[in-house]
Amino acid sequence: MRVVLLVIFVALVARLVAVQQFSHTHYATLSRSELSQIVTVPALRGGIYDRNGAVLALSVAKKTVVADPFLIKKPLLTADALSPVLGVPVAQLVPELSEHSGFVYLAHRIDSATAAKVTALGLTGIDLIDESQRVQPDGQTAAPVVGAVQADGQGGSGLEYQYQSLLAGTAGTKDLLTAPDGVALPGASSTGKTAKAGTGLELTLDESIQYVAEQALGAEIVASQATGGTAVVMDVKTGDILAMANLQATPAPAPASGSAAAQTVAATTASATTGAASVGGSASTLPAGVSEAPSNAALNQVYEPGSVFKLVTFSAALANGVISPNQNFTVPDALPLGTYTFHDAESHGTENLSATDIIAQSSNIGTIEIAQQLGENRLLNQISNLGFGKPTGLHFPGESQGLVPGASQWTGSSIGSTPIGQADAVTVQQVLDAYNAVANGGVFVAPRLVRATVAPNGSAHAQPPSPAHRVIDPTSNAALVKMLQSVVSTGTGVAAAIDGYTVAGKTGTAQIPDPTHGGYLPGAFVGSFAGFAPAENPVLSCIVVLNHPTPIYGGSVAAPVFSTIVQYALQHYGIPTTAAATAGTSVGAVGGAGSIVVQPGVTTEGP
Amino acid sequence: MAPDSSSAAARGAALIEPRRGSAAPDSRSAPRRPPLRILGPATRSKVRRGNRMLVLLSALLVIGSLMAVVVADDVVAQDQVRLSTAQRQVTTLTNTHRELQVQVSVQQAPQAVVKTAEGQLGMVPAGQITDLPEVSLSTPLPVPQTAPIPAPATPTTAAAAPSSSNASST
Repeated sequence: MRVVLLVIFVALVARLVAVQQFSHTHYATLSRSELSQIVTVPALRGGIYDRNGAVLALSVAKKTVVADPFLIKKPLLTADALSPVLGVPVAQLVPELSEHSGFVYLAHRIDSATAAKVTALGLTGIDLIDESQRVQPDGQTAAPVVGAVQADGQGGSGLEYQYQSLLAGTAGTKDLLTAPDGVALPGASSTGKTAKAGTGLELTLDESIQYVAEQALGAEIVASQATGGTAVVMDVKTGDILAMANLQATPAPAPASGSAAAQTVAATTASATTGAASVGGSASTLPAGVSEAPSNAALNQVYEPGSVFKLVTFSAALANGVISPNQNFTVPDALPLGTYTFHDAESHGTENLSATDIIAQSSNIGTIEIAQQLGENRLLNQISNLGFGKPTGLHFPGESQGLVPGASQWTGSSIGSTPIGQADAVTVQQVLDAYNAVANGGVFVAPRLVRATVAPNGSAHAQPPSPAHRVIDPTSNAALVKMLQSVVSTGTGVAAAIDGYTVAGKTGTAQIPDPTHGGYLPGAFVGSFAGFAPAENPVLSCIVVLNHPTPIYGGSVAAPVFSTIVQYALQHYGIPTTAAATAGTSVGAVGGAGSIVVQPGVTTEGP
Repeated sequence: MAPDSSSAAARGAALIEPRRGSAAPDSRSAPRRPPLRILGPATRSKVRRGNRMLVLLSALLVIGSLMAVVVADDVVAQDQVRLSTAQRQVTTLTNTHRELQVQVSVQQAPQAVVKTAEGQLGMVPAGQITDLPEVSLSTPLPVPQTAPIPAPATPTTAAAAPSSSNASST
């Protein structure tokens, strides 16, 4: 008997030693796995701000109410308690709480006050999970540029997509020990990895100028019955893009008896730029019949620019000594080249026009004659110098670098179509970059959209300045500026004039190619104006483009929009009028040498 | 007849007693017996009380230590609960701050400003903005041109007489 007891005792001790000494890790892990739950701690996405610190997009932490119906013994009582807090009818909650499921969504993205009330109820089987919501406080302003966030929190378009890795941050993990009823044991959690909030972006955009640009462009789209339009404003010296507006005409909703599909077109179009998870903080205030375009047409879409492209021809001709501003040319009404006959916009007899008159009146024939003297190679060289056919350096998602036929693709009529902007496909931004180079004394400066990154602690780290290089010699450039001034003072761009300031620029009225049959669509035009001000010391450059406007002329539809936008921007930055600048007195001039100097976080004057 | 106890005792004594004539045993080889004494009843109970006290104290110490561990664990758990609560409050307040930041941004947005200015305050966009020339503080102001004050009209005698009689009557 004693031996039996001894054997049993030894066996028990041996088993204890085996469990506690050799297998304790296994059993401890097994025990922990029964109770522990690895939870992902989402990182708060970085915000996007304008150059003055105004919020364009910001993520706000929200809570989503979820239920575990397996733990809910009395769904009706739980629904009665939750209904007034969530604002959801009891009749809707009871079936959800009675589902044969361990996880049911009850309310998405509730605010912190409501979440606190839910927590205070202390209901078994009801829990809150963290989610974030992307909010755009100023509605859809600059939506095609800022982009949208998808339902999974990832950037889906625009800058949200381009800077996804920077904005997203890094999610963390937390190991929670929970009781069998799902309640987290207090103090028993450990942080596996700390969540790192995303880095924000400070853009070069100025919210006020962006707003004015969208309002002015939208009003003109409606007035001219255009299908859409684009307007971009740049800081001449730094290349900062102060505004980039992309709008489209929105068809009017169908009558109530019509199909619901037509009524959802506008809403779908408007919300397409936001995605499922982005919410506008305030309603859009664009004119009725206009909405934000689904993409950033200023960078993503190409078009034949028309007469605004004559800047390239004239800058090359002046730089190569082919012409002088007052040199006279005999300009007929028509000019046959290859298989095409080129005409001026308005019929006229043979005229004697100076080079300045040719550009002021936008004579196609005169421009072609100058291009013929310039030659194909020097023209193509200047096209490349001014950035056409190349990426802008913005690396914007979907950005096009345009289509510029090389010398090997030239035909007999190319010397006629290329100089007047009816052969190359370019983006709106590329055209503005060329005008900005002229405004900047012949120095090409690359455009910029992001000014600085903003760390989670709020500190801003400035991005390097845009690279610059000379493309036109100063003397030729000065002559060209004078010629462009005549466009506004006496030529086709008089509607671009701004009281108190001298403006230089060029109108454009370009035919739209027919992608199906070749040639051009009958009666379809793009009206545009590109220019800068003040001409004697340029600070701002701007381009306005309208698609399918009525009337078709850039001088009639785009130039007035340019005037409105640039006038506001000049006054917004306190740029002295030409008279004040000439007299040597000024009020409100910001920065030296006519440059815009806005410190981050400083709010400039509003509209 | 009973065994003779005296004979047994004598045998025992014979066994015990050393042989006559033989030398006495060596006292250095035999261990010394500790001095023993028989305790009385009072002393025995005193010792037993001491032992009981010792056991009691030991038990109290062990139980007290265990209780202390339990209390300390409870205090730690409560502090952890308070810490968790504080952390939740920090998170809630941070989220509230963000929500307020969004609300401020909404109010500061240009469309909100324009809506308030035009809709509520009746403001209109300026038709024309005139630059005022900046004048340096060191620039002396021009002396204003002033016209001399005309001399007051001299009253006539006839007009003056009634007033003097009036004056004397008062």
